[in-house]
This record gives sequence, C-alpha cells and structure tokens, in this order.
Amino acid sequence: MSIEKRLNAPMGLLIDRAKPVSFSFEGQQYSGFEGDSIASALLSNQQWLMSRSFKYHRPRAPLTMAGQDANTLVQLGGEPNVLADREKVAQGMTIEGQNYNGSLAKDKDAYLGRFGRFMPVGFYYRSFFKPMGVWDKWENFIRDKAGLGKLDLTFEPEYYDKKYLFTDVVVIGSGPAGLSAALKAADAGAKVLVVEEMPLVGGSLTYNRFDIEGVKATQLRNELIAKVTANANIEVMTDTVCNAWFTDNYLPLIQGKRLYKLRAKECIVASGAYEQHVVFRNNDLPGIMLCSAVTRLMKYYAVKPGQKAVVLTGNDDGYLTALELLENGVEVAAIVDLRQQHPWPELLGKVKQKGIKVVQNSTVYEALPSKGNQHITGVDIRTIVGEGEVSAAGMTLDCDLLCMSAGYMPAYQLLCQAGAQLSYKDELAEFQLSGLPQGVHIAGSVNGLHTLDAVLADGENAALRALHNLKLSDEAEQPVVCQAKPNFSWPIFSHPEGKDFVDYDEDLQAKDIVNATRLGYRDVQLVKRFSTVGMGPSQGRHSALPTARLVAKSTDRTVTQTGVTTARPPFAPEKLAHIAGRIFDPRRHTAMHHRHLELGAKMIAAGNWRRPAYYGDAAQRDRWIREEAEHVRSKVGLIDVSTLGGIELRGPDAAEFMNRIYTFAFLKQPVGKTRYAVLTNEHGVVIDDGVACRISEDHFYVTATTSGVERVYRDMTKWNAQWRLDVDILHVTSAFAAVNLAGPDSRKVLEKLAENVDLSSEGFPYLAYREGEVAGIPARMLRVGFVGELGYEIHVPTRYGEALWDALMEAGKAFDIKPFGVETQRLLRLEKGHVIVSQDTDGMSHPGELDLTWAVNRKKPFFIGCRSVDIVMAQPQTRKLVGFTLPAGSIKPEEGHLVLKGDKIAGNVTSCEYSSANQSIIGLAFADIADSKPGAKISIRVDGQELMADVVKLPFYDPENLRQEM
Amino acid sequence: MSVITPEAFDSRSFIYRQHQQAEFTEVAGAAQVSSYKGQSHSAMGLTDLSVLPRFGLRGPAAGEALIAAGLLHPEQPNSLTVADDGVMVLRLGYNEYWLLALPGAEVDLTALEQQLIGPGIYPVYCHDSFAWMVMSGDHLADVLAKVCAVDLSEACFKSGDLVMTSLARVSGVICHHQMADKHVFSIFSDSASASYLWDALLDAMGEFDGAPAGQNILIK
Amino acid sequence: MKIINCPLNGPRNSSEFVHGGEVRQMPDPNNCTDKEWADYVFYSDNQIGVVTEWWLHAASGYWFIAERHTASDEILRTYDPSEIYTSRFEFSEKAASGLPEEMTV
Repeated sequence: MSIEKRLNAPMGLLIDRAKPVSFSFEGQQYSGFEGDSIASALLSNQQWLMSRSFKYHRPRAPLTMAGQDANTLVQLGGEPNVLADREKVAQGMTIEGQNYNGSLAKDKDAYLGRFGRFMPVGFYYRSFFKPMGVWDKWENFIRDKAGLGKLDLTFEPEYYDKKYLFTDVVVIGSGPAGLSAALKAADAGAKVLVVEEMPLVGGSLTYNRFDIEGVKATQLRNELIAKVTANANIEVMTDTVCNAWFTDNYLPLIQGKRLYKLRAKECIVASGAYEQHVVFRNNDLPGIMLCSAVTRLMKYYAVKPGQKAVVLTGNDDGYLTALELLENGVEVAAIVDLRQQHPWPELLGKVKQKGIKVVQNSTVYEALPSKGNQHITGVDIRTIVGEGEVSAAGMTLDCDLLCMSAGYMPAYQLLCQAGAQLSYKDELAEFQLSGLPQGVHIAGSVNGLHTLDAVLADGENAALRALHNLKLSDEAEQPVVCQAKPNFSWPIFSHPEGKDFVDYDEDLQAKDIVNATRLGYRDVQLVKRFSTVGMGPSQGRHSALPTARLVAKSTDRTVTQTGVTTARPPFAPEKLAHIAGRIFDPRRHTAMHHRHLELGAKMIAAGNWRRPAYYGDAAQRDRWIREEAEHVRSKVGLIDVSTLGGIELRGPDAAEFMNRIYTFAFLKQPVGKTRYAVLTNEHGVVIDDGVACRISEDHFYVTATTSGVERVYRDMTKWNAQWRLDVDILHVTSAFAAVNLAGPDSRKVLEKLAENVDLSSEGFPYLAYREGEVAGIPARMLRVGFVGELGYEIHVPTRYGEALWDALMEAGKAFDIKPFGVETQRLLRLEKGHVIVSQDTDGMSHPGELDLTWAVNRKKPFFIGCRSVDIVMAQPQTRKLVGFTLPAGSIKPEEGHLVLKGDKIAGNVTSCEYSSANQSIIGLAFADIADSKPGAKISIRVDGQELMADVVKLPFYDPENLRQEM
Repeated sequence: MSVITPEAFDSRSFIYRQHQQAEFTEVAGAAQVSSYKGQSHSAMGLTDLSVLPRFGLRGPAAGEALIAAGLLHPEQPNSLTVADDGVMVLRLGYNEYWLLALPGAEVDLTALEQQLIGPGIYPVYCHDSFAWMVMSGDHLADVLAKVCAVDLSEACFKSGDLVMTSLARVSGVICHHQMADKHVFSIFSDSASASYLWDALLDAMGEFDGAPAGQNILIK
Repeated sequence: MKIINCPLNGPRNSSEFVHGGEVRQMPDPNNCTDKEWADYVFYSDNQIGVVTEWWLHAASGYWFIAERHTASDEILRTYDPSEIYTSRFEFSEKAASGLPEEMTV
C-alpha cells in the first residue's frame, strides 16, 4: 500500500495534518489524519474496496462521499452498517468490511454476480412462496447470504437522550440558500436555527466550484459565515440530521447521542439536491464517483482521487470538476459530454486551453474493470444516437477515475412528508416541488435553482414568506430567474450484458425495472415492492429519478404521472437508541412504599403504581397468600390501599351530581354513612365502582378503582361542563394515604390509637364514616366489608402515611398484626363474592349480569347509562356471573378459561383461587343463564380437559355477613 | 444539640430517603433539608421543599376571598405573585389558588387558611397531592427542555408565569419566580411520583453539574 | 406532533390532551324512543367536514371544545364549553313504572 501524499492546503478543510491517527481495516494497519472520514483515510492509502454489494457481492467503493450511498457501509467494532464516508476515523479503530464470504478482497460469493440471470428481478418475491413450505428450506441460506454486518449482542447500552428545542425559524441546510434565508430572517428579528447534516457549514460552497477561477465559492462562504457568526439571532447545529417533518413543524434532529425535538414556527427547507449518476455497464466499479464526491474528497480531505480521470457529464458542473482535478495534479483524459450543446463559451475555452479533450453527444457505454472488478481501468465511449441508444463502435480511453454527473434530484424527502407534490418538468428533465403547507418554505437547489445568484435570492424570498407569517416583515419578494439546466434528460444506457445499475444498494439494473413493469407492476409503488428498488439504505436518493424515467417510458406515461415512491420518515437511518433515548417511565409509590420493601414484599405493578402482592419470596406465593389470608380471618392484618382512587364532590349540588353520575340514589344518603357506588357508561356497562362517604350535606368523598379513577374523574368533569351544577370536583387520590385494618382484632388495635371517635359497634357501625385522630394524625375512617371481616379503612393526608403505618404496626404488635398484600386481598374478597370491576366484568357486563340490580335506582330521572340499562334489562338475560366451587384436589382453572354450554362458549372464568377458609377451589365465572342457579353445574375447559364445577350461592364465606358487621 | 431526622416527625417529605448526607432543620413540624455535606453553590441546585407549609382553595368565591383578605391576587389565570412577607400565591386556571410560604418566611399560613373559608370556597390538598421541588441555577430552561415540551426560555416564560404541563410524563405545575434574588423554577408534581421525578430531574441536570441543594441557598 | 390551542393554557403539543368524543345532544332519556337512544349511544356521523369535539387538557383538568376539520385535521377554533352550555341542565322526571323501590343501605 503506497501512501499518496495529501494535496496542499487549502485542500483538506476537515483534516488536521498535525494529528495522525492509525487504525485497522480488515486486519491491516492504516494511517490517516484527525478529521478524516474512515473512507477518506482509506482512499488516501489507495484502499478503495470498502464493501461487497448486497446481491452480487461486487466490489464497491465510495460513490458520494456524503453518506448517501450504501457502498461504504462497514462494521465498526460491534456496530454494523456504519457509513465510512461520514464516520470520523479515530485512533485505534478496528474496522471490518461486511457482506462477504472469506475476505473482502476475495469474496467467495462473488460468483453470485455471474448467476445474475438466474436471479431475476423479484427473485425472492416470486421464488419462495410456492410451493408451500419452500421458504423454510431457503430461509437459512438467504438469511446467511443477505445479512449485512454482525450485531454484538453483548453490547453495553450507552446513554442516549432527548431534548426539546424551540425556534421561530428553522432552516434545514446551511448551503448558500439556507444561510441567505437565515440571515434575512434573523436580521428582521426572528430567532433562527440552522441545521446542517455535514460537519461544515456552507453546503455546496464547501466543495462545489461555481466559477472558472475557483474562488467564488470560498469567498462567498467566508462572507456568509462571518455574517452568521456575528448575528446573535442565529444558532447553527452541524453534524445534525433533520430526520422527518411532522405536523406543525415538529422536527426530530439527531446530533450525536441526542434526539432533539424541535418545534419551529416556520420551517425553511434548503436541503439541496443530490447529484445523479449515469446508468451504463459497470457503473459501480471502484474509481467511479459522482463529481461532487471527487471534489469533496479533495476539498475536505486533500485526497488525490486518481492519476488519470475521465469526466462524464450532462452539465457544466462536470467541466468545472475537470478544472478542479487538473489543478490538483490529476490528468483529465477527456470530458465526455452527454449533451449536443456546448457549455458557456468561457468555460469551454478554458478547458480547451488546458488541453482537455471534449467529446460532445457521447457517453461512457461501459467501464472496463481490472481483474475481479476491483477498479476501473478504462472506458468505452460511444456516440449517442437516440434516447439511450449509442453507436455500434466507439473509442476506448484508459483511466483510473471516472467522475460523473447526470444532473440533480431535489432532496425532496422532508417536503414530501410535509405534503408537497413532485412534478416533472420535461423541458428541464427535473422534478420540482409544489403545494407546500402553511409555515413550510423551500429555497435553493431543492427548489430547482442552480446559479448562485438565484439561490441566494431564493433564500431571501423564503425568509420573507416566513417573516410575513411571523408578522415581522411585509417586504415584497424579488423575482428569481435561473437559466441553468443541469439535468440531462436520458442518462440511461442499458447494456445487453447488464450490470448497468440503477440502484446500487439493491444491485438493480435497468432491465430489472423494465421487466418489473412488463410483469404487470406498472405503478411505481408496486415496482418498488416487487423489485426492492429504493428499499436500500440510500432510500432512492439515486435510484428514484432513473426508476421514474424507466417506468414512465415502459408504461407510456409521463414521469409526473409515474412519480416517485412515498418518502416516509426517517430520512436517514436512525438508531433505536435515539428513539428509546432516556426513557421516562413514571412510577408511583405510596407513602408506605419503603416499609413494604423493608418487610420483604413482592411488589407488582398496578398501572403506574407499585403495590405489595404479598410479603415473601415469589417461589412460595401460594403459601404467603394463604397465611396472610388466614391471619386476617383469625387475627388482624394491615393492607396499604393508598392507590385506591379518591374524588371529592363539594357544593350545594354535590348530592344531585352524585345522583346523576352513579346508579344508586344519593340524595337521601345520611351524613356519616357510606354507600356502594356503581358507575355505568352510556352503554349501560359497569365500568367502575367505589364507596361514597357523605361527610356533610354538601360534601362527598368517593373512592374509585386504582386504574379507573382517572377516567371517572375525567367523565365527571366533562359531564359537569355540560350540566353546570354548582359542585366542585377534586381529584384527591394522591392527597390521601390509606390502609385497611382488617380482622377480628382490628378494633382492639385501633382503640389504642384513635382519639375523638367512638369505636364501639353502636358508635361506629358497619358502613359508617367517621373522622377523628389516629396516633394524633387527622383521619377519615370508613367501616367497609371488602374482605369480609371487621375492618376500618383509615385515610390520612399523604405526608403522614408512613407514620400512620408505623403506629398501627406498633400498636398491633400485641395482637400479632401482619401486613397483607393485594393478591391476598383478592382472595379474601373472592371468598366474600365481591366483584372487581374490569377483572370480573367485561365490555358487555350490565348490572343484571353481575347481580348488582340492588345498587341501581331505576326510578330517578337520570344516571349515566340509565336508558341503556332499562333497554338491556328488558331483554332476556343470556349470561350471569356466578360463584363456583371445585374440590380441593382438582386442577385449578385460570382466569380466562372457557365455560362451555354443550359445544357453545357460555362465558369464562374471571377469578379463581384455592380458599383455605372453604377448603376448596372457589371462583367466579360467566355462565349461561340456565346454569346460573345454585345447584347447577358448569363445564370449564382447562387445557383440553373439561371440569364440572358446582354453582353455589355467594358469598362463599360467612354467608350471614356476621363477621364484617361485628 | 440533637440531630434532626425526618423520621422523628409524623409529617415527612415523600422523598426524604433520597436526601443522603443531608442536614435537616425543623420547619412546620417536619424535617427540611437545610444543606448537604459538600454542597457546591455554583452548580445548578434541586431543592425539596415538600414539607414547607402550603394550602389551596378553589371555587367561584375563592378569588374574591383572597382579595378581601388583602393578599396579592394574580390577575391572570396561570400566573403567580410573591409578596414581601414571602407568601407566594399561585393561580392555576380560572379559580384555583395555592398559598405557599417561601423558605425562611415567617408567616402563619394556618391562620390564613382558617380565614379563607365560606360558601363557594373549597380546600385543595396541595400539600399532600403535590411534591414541591425548586430548581435553581443558570440553565433552568435548558434542563427543563429535556423533560418538558413547553418553551420555558426567558423570552416565553417570564418571572410570574406558571404552566400546567407534563414533565417527564408526569403532570405538574412549573412556576418561574425569584428566591434570594435568584431566578428559580418551582415544580409541583404528583406526590406519589416525587421519587421518580426527583431522580429524572437530577439526571437531566447532570450535564450542567446539577446536584441536590438545601433550602439555605434559597434564603437571603 | 400537532399543536392544539387550549383556551386556558395556550398552544401545546397534542400529547398533552385527551380526546373526549364529539359534542352531541343527548336525547331526553326518559321520553325518546329506543332507536333515538341507540343512535345517540352507538352511531356517529363520521363524515368529512367540521366536527365539534371535546378535548381535555390533562395537566390542568380543563375541558374545552374544538372545531376540527376531519379531512385537513385543521383545528379551526377552540373555546370554553360555557359558550355552548350556558345554564344549569335539568333532566325530565321518569314516568312511574312498576319498578321496585330503591333499596336503602
């Protein structure tokens, strides 16, 4: 490997020649400079081969030097598919090629290229669906051959995060149009953010040559940068890709390990245009690059791209590239001009004066390869005799570099995501964009303007439109004229032997596209799906335009009618880490959370909350639940019920409001009493339940289910936005910590701590509500029967929650108090036959199916769903929630197991546990109405087996309800 | 002198366990972090003021009652006032108000609370529903931009402004005001999520050398 | 992400809001036909054009009304519900039927 001396300054804008770096590629050591991309460092070492193509395993080298092709995808340590022409090289990097068998230089799978005709377009699509099962045979082979790169599954996740950004005007692209727009907008007082994908500000000014002398670009760039730097209203982000456009100018910007979510009032897209390749045989050989790639290579990295070049061009830019090459010591064997007409006279004169041969009306018909297609060695030049047709004979020229430019394709992706349409201007052979939404503007070469003056003026016009919307300026736009016509109308020269690539990523040749249309896939969207054109990493940046032209021609339509495939986000590949980023996953903890952890609780999720399921290790779950349940039944237990939803209703209409929301009657509920509250939706389906405490005439405190309270609160506030009752609705879930002290000894425990409240069964009977102090803490107390024992729910302000827990546990020591978890509570309530809404109900459960008609007042003027309840209850009922039992030794059905009636599904099991209090398996299930009476039997299917369970009267435990009413 | 610990009081901050190496002082029957060992004053600070006194009221008569009580009444919905005696009044929406005593303020909010009752006035339990955290330092908007989608830069979010929004996916209230001549953001968020949000905010402050700070830095 | 202009809180990301369905006139539940009731509960017009919808700003618990075009997704206007719902609403009494008396607990 010879190390070519780098070109002299000012070439090499990005590299620091004082800082050499060494790295390895494919096991061999190389050196480069800080600021080099991996690709430029390798090219400076004459290492052109960087990858093997996807299908045919052809040798590939950089095409764009701007991260717009898949040719430079390499494996960087554990990270596959890194763009070598964008990733900066760093000291000690270990880089490998991808997609080869054996070695990159000698890929054993390169034979696949010779079998190309056996792998026609749509090969995968057509070959592996029929006969049935054939895919199973082929899958391993194809996955092995088709994969790109290797994933390191042992990788350590790194810290990626997200941040919001806000600006008045965002300018996408820092080329002449973008900077001109930014300056105009900032000067009028707008806050401007300029987003640049590349490390350098200036866009085409950083690499393109606009004049014969080659001074204009640098001069203008310096001027613009000086102005931008001096302007306090402008912020510039480089190395930042705007990866999508979303509604109302919401733009994801990726910079390093951060995803910015930008909200801009106005968006100016000055994203530029992609130089296009010419389609001819072997147009993918290493040493064939776009003109812009060659100038980037020289200007950014001072790498001399070859010794002897041929320039193939459809515009004047190719001539300017030739001058650039010559000045940097590259011999230019010829300029092959696709056009019949000459460039502007001074340019032609200069080129001829330099002794460069110019061949008009001609094309490269075939690039000649070295052995193994490792590099270009020459070109076969033919005269163009018709659209895509060439003379039978031509001339051959030796070269080691071919620079090509067939014209430009606007970088339309963001604008099309915003809703713009592409239409093809035949006279310009160019796509143009129109139909931009409000607040989105276009400027520069993406807008089909190519001369510097026009581009600068267009940038200012875009800024004026944005400023007009921002009401910062009413200055009129200036008309913009551009005479340049850089696109050659048919730069496609199909070769009978193929390898004339339209899409490098997917190894698709001109005939593949044409064949797709002949097979009936006439729509460009179908052509894409059939042929995979545009599906590769470069996402049609180079294949979209030739594909549109080829499809249009072979289907006798215009290119506008044909169009291009939909450009969806993301614009460039993005890492899942960018999307995942710093994940916000809110957790809610009760005031007693740490006490549960200290007591060894097994915590489970209940929505965002974490709750103790039981106290002990998961391996002995059933044992802990049984022990906790027996403890509550025999002594006293304590459960944290802080997650229970809480809503307060206050005001003169509080009772009227309750009466309209819940199914029961509340107008006459006595103060100091609780009442069961069932909520149905407008369909008459039970959606939540809770306990309503009447604290005073105009003050209710209602509980709701942990997961349902948010919805209940929202529904309540929405209803009252319509009813306009004089009631205040306050969501107080987080304001109260709550416990349920339950068990025969619970009164004795509470007596040790309670003040200002009579705890006797007469003074504080079942279902009463009282206020007082517990351990000196102001408390709301409810006598509830959810678990079926004497019990008190104690609600205190959250900041006192932990102290309350501590006091009760301390006072309960004498009575052997033990905490119990939510799974134990579920068993205890099941023994009492209490329904848990959403576990024992579904989207069809009306009150009649749940035996809740006692909790529905059907005489009052209204409750939500009242009319629906009336309608469904008037119809014959088909199913009902019933209690069932199975013997202790039986298989235990799980929630969801089916209940059968003959060969029909009658319902399903909703809850089921082993109950030591009942010495049997108990459960709730939806059953056919005919089987819902106690004494009936229901058939439950468990893993293919049918169990016959006994339907019993609820509750299973303490049917007289004596224990809870003590 | 005995060492003050949070568990010596019945009223506790929702996140007192997160206050490592903290020195506490007694405020309103609870332990308030006055400072942390090795606390730097130049960095961005996050202070837990959850135990400091505050109460809320709402309802059609709430605004009138505030005015009648001679309090500074925020004229616009979603704004706040701070009086010389250290009483901050937040106006959330049209007719909800929170009254808070800033660190070091010597005011009796309990007396005020008992005065502000009557028909059309309903208490709001903001002391228990919401944790109170204060962020101070030079990069307030930058840090909040990592957790919140509202533009909180000086130009858009001035001292005296209040927003109700989502931060780190938890609903909350962010207030821009001043304490001890510093611009600060008071953040009120679901007390049950306080532990989560405290960690999320410290994480966001990390790149600006953010760290927990005691209330001392907020008192003149 | 779309921006919704909340009458109370100003323009915010749509992720701060909860959709509350179309604003609809409930038929008198005590006097309408079953069909009128079923239409109200189950059917929505789902037509292209301007719809009037409930939106909730979640962080402030504030319901408002938005007029939105279903084709362009453009929100034409947002306003406080008091513009439509100006006074206290009363339901008609339910006609006496043979249903059992309410149980008191």
